[in-house]
Amino acid sequence: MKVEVELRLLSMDDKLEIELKEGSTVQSLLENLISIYGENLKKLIGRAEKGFRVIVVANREIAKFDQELKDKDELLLLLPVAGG
Amino acid sequence: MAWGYWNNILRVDLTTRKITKEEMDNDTYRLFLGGAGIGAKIMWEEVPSEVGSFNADNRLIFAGGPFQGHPVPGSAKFTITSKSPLTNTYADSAAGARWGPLFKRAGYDALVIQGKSETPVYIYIEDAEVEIRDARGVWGMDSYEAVDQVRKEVGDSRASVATIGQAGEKLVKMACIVVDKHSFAGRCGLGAVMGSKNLKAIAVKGSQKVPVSNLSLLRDYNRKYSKEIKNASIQSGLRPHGTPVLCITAEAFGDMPIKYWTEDTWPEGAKKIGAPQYTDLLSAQPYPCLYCPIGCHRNIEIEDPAKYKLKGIGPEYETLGMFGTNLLIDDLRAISIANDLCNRLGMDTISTGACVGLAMECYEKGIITKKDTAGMELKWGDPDVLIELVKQIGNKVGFGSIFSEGTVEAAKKIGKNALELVVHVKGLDFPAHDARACWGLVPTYGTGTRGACHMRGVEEDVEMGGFYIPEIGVTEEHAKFFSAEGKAHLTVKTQDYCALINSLVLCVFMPDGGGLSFTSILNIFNSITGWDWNIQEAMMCGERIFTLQRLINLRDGYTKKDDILPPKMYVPAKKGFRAGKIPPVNNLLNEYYELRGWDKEGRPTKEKLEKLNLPNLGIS
Repeated sequence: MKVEVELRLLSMDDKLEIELKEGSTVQSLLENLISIYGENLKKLIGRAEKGFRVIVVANREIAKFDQELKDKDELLLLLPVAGG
Repeated sequence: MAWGYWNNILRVDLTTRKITKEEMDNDTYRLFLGGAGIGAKIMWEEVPSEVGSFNADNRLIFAGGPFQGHPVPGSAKFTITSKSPLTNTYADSAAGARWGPLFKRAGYDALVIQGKSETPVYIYIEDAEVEIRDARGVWGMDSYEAVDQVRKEVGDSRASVATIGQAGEKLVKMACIVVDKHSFAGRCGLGAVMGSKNLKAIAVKGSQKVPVSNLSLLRDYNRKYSKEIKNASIQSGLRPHGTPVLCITAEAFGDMPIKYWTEDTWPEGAKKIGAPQYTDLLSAQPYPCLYCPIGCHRNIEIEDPAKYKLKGIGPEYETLGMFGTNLLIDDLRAISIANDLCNRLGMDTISTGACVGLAMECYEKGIITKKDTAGMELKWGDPDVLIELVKQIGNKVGFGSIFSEGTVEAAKKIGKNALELVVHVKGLDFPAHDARACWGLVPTYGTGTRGACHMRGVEEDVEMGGFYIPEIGVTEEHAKFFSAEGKAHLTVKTQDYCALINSLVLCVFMPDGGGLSFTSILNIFNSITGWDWNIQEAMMCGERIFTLQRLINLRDGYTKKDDILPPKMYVPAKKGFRAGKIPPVNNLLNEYYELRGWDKEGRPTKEKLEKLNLPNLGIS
């Protein structure tokens, strides 16, 4: 399956299409993205072992990390913010 | 005497020039804590509805709480309470820098100012010595000059000074109070109340130790939590980037105001004015208040172009929203200059941005023309218009002077349908967060006791997935967009929580951005007071304080119809994250009243008041 991903993470601003195995979760997508973007992304969103620090929006709803993705899902990655 | 308190208030009558110290009993602290809570109690007892904001009988209350006077992280905050000239009812506004801790160490829990001086004065407090001093030499100075001059006159460059600029002197209704050229009690126009009393500044120095129940435990907590907060704020981006870190995410969620709430998206603009561009372009550095491990305020430096040369305090997220995306301005240097002008004149950047947005919209729609503006073209995106209007509003000159009364009064004078364009609740302009994105903001803004405010119920940070309070059931289950389910409940909880925080007094960024848990806040509280409160007792106190503020709103004539949001909030977005979505305003408000134990008209019931230990205060 393929999903569309948009990153809006401070200086990391990108749009891409990623092919994933059926049954992939948000967490596996994030691991996949780290393998593409490397240390720069890891610095921004953390690591799976310590818990990612990122908001993943799937089709306009905040997704949980164990949520399964579907073909053609539209995903938006943002940094969680607090303190307005 | 209660631990963490001095059991007194200092009262200064500027008409009679009488200065008195009054006792405050322990029960009052247990019911209202300090800060906004004590402020609400005094406003309830001493400022009836017929007293207007600029009447000499209005009070101006500066108050700390049990957290002030010790190196508690986030305890630089203090609260100023009064009747607002914008909302004509209860208002509290908080600032940081160094004033709160120094005032507490001078030996007082609160300062109540009443009356009106015949000539300009400032108040100087150094421990037991309190003087009303001649300020004729300081009157007319901008706020930064006034801080320097007053420090010079009291002979101590480390004295903390809360002052007004020219806007406060001229009774501009969104005038703020400026502290140490560093932090600002921005909202609700309390600087104009200070100006109406001919009071330019209050300088403080304090050298006494506030009594504490368990000092060694408090020291341990302060060390431990300061370290944890610093680490969390580095992770959340608040320390490295300050509040500009919000811009990209807030815009993506449709939370930022675009073209005075008439458009839906502007990602390019948000990127140009938010972090990391902000940090790089403005060489921004953290500028912490006293005892703050986060340092959300920014010191910035601009060299080029020469007309924007600046070294000093940089704009916050709210200013970037209201001067930036709200006006379609993406020139960060120009926004910084307009921000600096507001700081010096002493004006709230949120309401000032709302005024300029309303002016630009009226101009675009032909409601006002070049004839009204003395030839100035009020074009969206023009930074020169912003800068010029800030000067005109703050100095009450030219076309801009019409906005010195605030957006609502200006719209009434402009006429036609201008009033329908204003985005406010109870006279207070929306901050840079859109209730169509975060639906919990509908009851939060609607019932906000000082009008539309995101900091008196930080529920939007919960909805956007950045902040939770698990001890009171505020969890990631609430981070759900475009669903009304649970949102009224979320608002009730976060409003009571914020009323508590603003009465302790603690900077809300310690939990919200710094990760300080509710349990940790109570650990600090109990080590100071020795009261051994649990979460339920603390939340009950927050609810009591919020409810008393609501009672003041009702007594001042506000009703259910004033809890409704302005017309623009019923217009769905055409594109972007919130396209086609509109919150069910009436349902959310009705559910909110029910959860609060209020009647269908939004009035707390007798049973509710008894439960909150607020008997005999009901509105008949």
